[in-house]
Amino acid sequence: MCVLIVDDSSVMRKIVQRSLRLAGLDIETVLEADNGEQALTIVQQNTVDLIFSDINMPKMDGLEFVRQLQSLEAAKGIPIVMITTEGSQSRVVEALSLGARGYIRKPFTPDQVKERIAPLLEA
Amino acid sequence: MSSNTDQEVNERGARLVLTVRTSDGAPRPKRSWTLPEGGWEELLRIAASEILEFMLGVQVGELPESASCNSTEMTAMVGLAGELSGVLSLRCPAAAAATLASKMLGTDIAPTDAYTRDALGEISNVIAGTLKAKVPGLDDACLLSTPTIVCGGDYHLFSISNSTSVSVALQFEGQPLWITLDLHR
Repeated sequence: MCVLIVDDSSVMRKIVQRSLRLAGLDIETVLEADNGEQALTIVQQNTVDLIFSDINMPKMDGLEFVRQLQSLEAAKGIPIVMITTEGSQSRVVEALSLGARGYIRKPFTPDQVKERIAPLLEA
Repeated sequence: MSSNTDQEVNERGARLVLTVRTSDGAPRPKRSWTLPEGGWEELLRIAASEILEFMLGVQVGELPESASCNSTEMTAMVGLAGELSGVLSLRCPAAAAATLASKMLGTDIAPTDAYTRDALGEISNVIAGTLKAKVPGLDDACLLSTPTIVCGGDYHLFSISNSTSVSVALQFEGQPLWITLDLHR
């Protein structure tokens, strides 16, 4: 499985990666982007199975990233899980309405990550 | 559309009502939020302790009042904007920031490593998010900026006038942390 982690914080990208491994997920490749713009390029150049994206990022935020991702043929069917500090209901609702399949609020445990993505991977 | 804002503010357990006035002067109730019993200082202490214990897996305690804040070498700042505006800052020695990063990533990180700066910013961001999420009605009405990190000890932070400032001094594994919330009125 190839996972793309989009977050402007390199620490948070490593934490998500570590959580996925601690959760026992079979991950072959982890790709990283520090903003939505970079993530869009990565999606077009790689076969990605799952995306984790922060909402609050410079250059292109998570909401705009999800919006633009929907128009990419290469991104069809890739589940997107939003990572948010704020739990701001309206932004989460907006992300879900744009096509995100779930969200995780920081801080989180590996078990919480596993719990959130298990149904997405089964689907 | 021009607008101005009125706020009714009480310090403890108060109900704050924000009213937006439109260009024709008609008040339009926008949001209301409630500061929990205990006030900002207690809220900051709870949010910071919870997050540090959760993310670092360590016990967090109060720092003795005699501990000096002069040894700070790194500061992370997160802006709050919307119906609550201000800055949350976290200050600590570089060694404490490195310990914090090492705990978060589960591997040894040097004080000069970029991960150390990033970890300090990330933890302040999560503390700020948790703090506002603990204020009923505020979570959705206040946004956070991406964190800014200042390195070096030869500087002073000044709050702007007309602000409320609360600070908590905490320690984990003998390392000090000072967390301050400056709110603009």
